[in-house]
Amino acid sequence: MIELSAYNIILLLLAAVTLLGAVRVIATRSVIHAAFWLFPVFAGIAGFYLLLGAQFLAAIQVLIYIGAILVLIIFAVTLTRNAMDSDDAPANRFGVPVFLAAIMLLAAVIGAAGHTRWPAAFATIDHIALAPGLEVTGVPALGVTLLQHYLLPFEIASVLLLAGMIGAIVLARRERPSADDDAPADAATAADAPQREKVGV
Amino acid sequence: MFSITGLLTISGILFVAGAAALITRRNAVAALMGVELMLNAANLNFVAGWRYFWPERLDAHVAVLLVITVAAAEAAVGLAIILNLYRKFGTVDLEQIRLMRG
Repeated sequence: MIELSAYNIILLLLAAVTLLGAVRVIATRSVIHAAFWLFPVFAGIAGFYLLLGAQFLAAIQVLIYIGAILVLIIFAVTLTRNAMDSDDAPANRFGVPVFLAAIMLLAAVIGAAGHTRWPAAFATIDHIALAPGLEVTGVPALGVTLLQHYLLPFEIASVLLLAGMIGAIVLARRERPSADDDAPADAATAADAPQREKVGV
Repeated sequence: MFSITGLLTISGILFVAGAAALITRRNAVAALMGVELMLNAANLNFVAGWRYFWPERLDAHVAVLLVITVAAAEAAVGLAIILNLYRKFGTVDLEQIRLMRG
């Protein structure tokens, strides 16, 4: 059973906040509320990283997930606002079967985790991150690992970021027909119009 | 003492919630939120495994950093695609967007 030390109480609180946020994200009808409920999830995960001793990852989590991705998602929600009526059902017709399948998958995962014989020496964790001298573990070693053993994935990741940035700019740019192909663009728009009606918009 | 089973349970719940959101939500942005939940669950698993089983090596940290990078690129491109869909169709309801054509 879990011993009620301060470390474990904080971990349990973090777990409660994270899971509450996750449940609200999938169950909230309003999309903007779901986006805001992502905040406790990301912050709770950052807290887990901090308590498990991965301080650098906690900082990265706050910077990128909360600072960039969450803001991006909220911008996307506001830019596509009023796209769906608020009384539309938030879930499609697979809601109930997927819920049942999710419960079964979760039971399988928890059962597998509970029945696995973990190496006994590592099966528990001591009060690491709440120790008085809160040392930053392994950031220099992480730099060495990243740039010596994982140099190629690192470079590929940077190229991926560049490609993602250019792709996002190209995709999200509003199409402006240039002066010389005004007429074809208009014709194309007119030709598209009946199809849009067919789609039901 | 907090056993690894607790952490695996938490990340399992996060993953299942994200998968359910990805499959069932009708709003495209909400489906993308489900993807983010699943990636966070995977990251939490990486860190838990590092902490409990191999604390002297930092490979799990590299994996988490790469996953976060991919998640950032995916969010940017995915949301740009959703904005484009909204301009084309006037909705982001995944049930109504059926035309696979620019």
